Amino acid sequence: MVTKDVLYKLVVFLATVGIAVGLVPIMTIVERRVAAFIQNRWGPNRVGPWGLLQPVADGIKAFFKEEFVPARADRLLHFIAPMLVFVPPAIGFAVIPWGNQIGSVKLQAVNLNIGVLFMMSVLSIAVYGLAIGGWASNNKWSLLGGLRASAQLISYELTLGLAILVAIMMAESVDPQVIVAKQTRGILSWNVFGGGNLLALPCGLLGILLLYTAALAENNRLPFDLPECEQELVGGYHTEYSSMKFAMFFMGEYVAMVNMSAIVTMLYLGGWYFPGITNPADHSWLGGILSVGVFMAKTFAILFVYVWIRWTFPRFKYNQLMNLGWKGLLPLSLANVALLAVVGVFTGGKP
Amino acid sequence: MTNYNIGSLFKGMFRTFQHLVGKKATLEYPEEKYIPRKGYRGEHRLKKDEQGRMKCVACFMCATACPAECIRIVAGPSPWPDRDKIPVSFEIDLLKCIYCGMCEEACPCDAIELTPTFTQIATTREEKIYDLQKLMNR
Amino acid sequence: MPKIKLNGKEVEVAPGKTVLQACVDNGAFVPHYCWHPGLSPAGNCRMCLVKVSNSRKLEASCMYPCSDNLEVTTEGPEVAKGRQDVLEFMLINHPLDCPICDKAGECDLQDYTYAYRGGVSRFRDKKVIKHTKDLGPNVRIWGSRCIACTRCVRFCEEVAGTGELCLVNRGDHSVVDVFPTIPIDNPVSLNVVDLCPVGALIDRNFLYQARVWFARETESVCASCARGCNVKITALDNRIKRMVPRVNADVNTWWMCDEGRLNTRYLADDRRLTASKGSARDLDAAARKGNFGIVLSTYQTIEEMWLVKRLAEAWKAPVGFLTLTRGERKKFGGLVIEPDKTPNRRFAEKLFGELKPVPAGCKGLFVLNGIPELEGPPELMAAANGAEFLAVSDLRKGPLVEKAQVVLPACAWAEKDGTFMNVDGRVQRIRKAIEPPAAVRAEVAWLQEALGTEPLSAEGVFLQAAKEVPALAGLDYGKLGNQGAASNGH
Repeated sequence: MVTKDVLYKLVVFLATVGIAVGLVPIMTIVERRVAAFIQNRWGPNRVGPWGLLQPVADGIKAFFKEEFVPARADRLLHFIAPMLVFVPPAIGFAVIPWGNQIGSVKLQAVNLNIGVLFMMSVLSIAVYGLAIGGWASNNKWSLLGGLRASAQLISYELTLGLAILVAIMMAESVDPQVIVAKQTRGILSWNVFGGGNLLALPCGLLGILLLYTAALAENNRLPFDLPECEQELVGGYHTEYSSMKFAMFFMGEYVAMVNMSAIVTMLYLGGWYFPGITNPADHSWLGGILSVGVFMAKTFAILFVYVWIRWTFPRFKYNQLMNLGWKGLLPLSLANVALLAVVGVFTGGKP
Repeated sequence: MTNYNIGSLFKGMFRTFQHLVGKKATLEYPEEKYIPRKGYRGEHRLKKDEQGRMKCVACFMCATACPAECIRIVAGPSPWPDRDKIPVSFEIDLLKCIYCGMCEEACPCDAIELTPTFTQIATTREEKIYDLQKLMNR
Repeated sequence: MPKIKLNGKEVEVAPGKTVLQACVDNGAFVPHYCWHPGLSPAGNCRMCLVKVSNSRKLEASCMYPCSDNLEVTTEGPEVAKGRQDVLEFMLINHPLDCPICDKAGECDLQDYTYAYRGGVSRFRDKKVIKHTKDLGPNVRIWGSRCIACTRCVRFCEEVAGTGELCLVNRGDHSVVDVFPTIPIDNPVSLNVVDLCPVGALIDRNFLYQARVWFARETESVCASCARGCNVKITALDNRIKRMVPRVNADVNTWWMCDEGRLNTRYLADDRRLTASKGSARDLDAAARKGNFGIVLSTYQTIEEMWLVKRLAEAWKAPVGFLTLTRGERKKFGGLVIEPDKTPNRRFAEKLFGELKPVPAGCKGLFVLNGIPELEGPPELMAAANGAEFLAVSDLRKGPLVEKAQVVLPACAWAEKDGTFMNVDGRVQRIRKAIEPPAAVRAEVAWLQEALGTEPLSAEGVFLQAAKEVPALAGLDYGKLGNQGAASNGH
């Protein structure tokens, strides 16, 4: 039944894209409401019930705003940059295993055996969008923002990769399906708790901490949002962007956030598995939907922490950012990998 | 070496979480009205006595006390036998006024008062200069 | 010459002087109500109590003669207590209406009460209410405020010589009043308002016009007669609210006439000339065609007259004069009301010699008339009718202004800086108390424009004039100060 499988795949694929894009407006309203609550306010609560239609209003507003390109800007690059920011993280969703399988269909758009590597490479492309957008705007603030973005991403990419490596070492695979499958043996088999090896527990905890910190920096989120810090750079790389182009930058940031949260969930928090709710052997419709629900819940928890951190911590200085990246996180992640390797050797070659 | 104080990060996160679930300070204005506390200093009015006449005797004490110099009085002789002097015109420029309440404090006749009204709007500057009639009929 | 010890310091006093005078002359402050340097001492307010070595009790210093080796103490707890007690008695019947009293802010009773008493009254009974009424066309009395110091009564007897006022009733009912059907209506009646140490006597023209602390005071000189009484102009919102005399022993002593005080209405009435027509350069161009005449009023300042003289020399124009004489010389104590109703005639005579009449038969005429009440006398109208070109500078609209090709509105004396020379040859400064109407420029400015010289301030013009006019030799604004200075030859 090739056609039936293709049909299923198509449905999963479309659902994935839908989730990727659909989560963005939800995240914007969540972000604003949480920000308001933390500041003892109510936040946007006028459009629709509890303000839930606020993203729609924002979208309409962005759509109807004037599309402005500065004089002497590079029009082509100015046009391409927002897409370069938005599309790669959206592509990254392709290899995320959203849930267990229903029947024979795995809830993953593309079942790629080097999925994690694919994701890393795709996510790294997004920085081109920022750098190009900054350069093409013909504005020194934008350019500085773009440069900061690329420098910051290069610095934290190392930590990110090493933190992902920890999870890969625990799973002994770069296939997302395998990584998740190895974490379905009970809550202690989650990579964050050492992947079934209690001696590797500190490695797992440190790993998720490093991964999450690097993810904040990768996504230009507070406290690492130096590329767009208003006090110094007006709006950073998107200073000269308006209307839907700005919206693309904006959405790109949120898609990348969702993507990163999904990666953290997948690599460290057992993916769609939660003891007592999902069963790896349950391939029914109900089990499949439950597994997707668990995955989404975990992802949202991570996203909430993103927002929570944003409204708690002030921004770093640039030198502090570089110090932390190169002198703090990088040695720490290298040591983490080494420690895990040693633990692996002493526990029979298998963490 | 920079001191990475991880503990205080979590302390900060805990504090913001407390606010996240805590009581909100926002007053949703058109639905919820702000009810000024007792002694709130809003726009002025001039009081009347039992016979409906103005209490003001145009002594200029309010104008003297006013730090914003927003009170302008022209005095004249009184038509009533129980007092000598009344204001012929009495203007308060509420755009200049800083609502400090010094005029009320200074008034020897308890004639001027700051009411809790604070939502009067105007579309021209002249409307915000309240004259004797407007101040009396509030 | 008796020598007394004033607060431990030995001072010499002229014979016959009282202790209070000795204190005032030597800078020792003694509060007083009934005593006034220009009036005979009465000794009834008891405020000037001081401690003297000859007496066990406190003595009223205004009636106590100085004797040799007298020790006088004007400060200290005993004296302060005495003053406190006197004030408490005075305040028994004084109403608490400072907020609506026009004297508030410059009231001696207020000041001394503030200085010596805590502001608490022990009096629990009903206060005596006395009459409030008009004593004359300009003076109103609030009897309840009266402290019966009799300064006003003594002024009417000793200075005005008319004696309209008297003290009626006895005890705490005593109050100043006039005889029935005889209101106080003498030429210096408003001085009683200045004399009143409290707010009992009030100028009806100033009633409710201003709280004095809002008003701006400018030291100037009255321009209503050739005497040049020293005055303080009280102005509020660019209006002159009143004028009160300043002390100048050489000119007006302490007094001033009502006519001078009240001669300010024309400054802001609707007949005031405010619009100009043509310019000073037009005037100059017309005057240089020849056969030109100038008419100058003796109301102009020294600076203006000197500039007009230079213009007359440049244009080779004859200068005629407008003057105003009314009534006769009246003397009230140290105050003389002159019949010459213009302030600067003496200087005109010094500068131009004998004052010539209006020049007749000129083709062009320039009239500089600063006299507010003078509107085109017949000889001037005749000369103006005969002239082809007429330039007028006047305070008020009139037939002459309507005829003129060039109109340059004049500044009133309170709207400009300058100097006047009074009838005794004393040069005194006038100062700008209020702003002139928007389009009106000071005469000094446009006269210099007509001359085509570097525009100088009034002070600069005076310095130039002082170099060339012998009568002004050696004078400048600094030397004139606020009391003026005698000119050369006087």
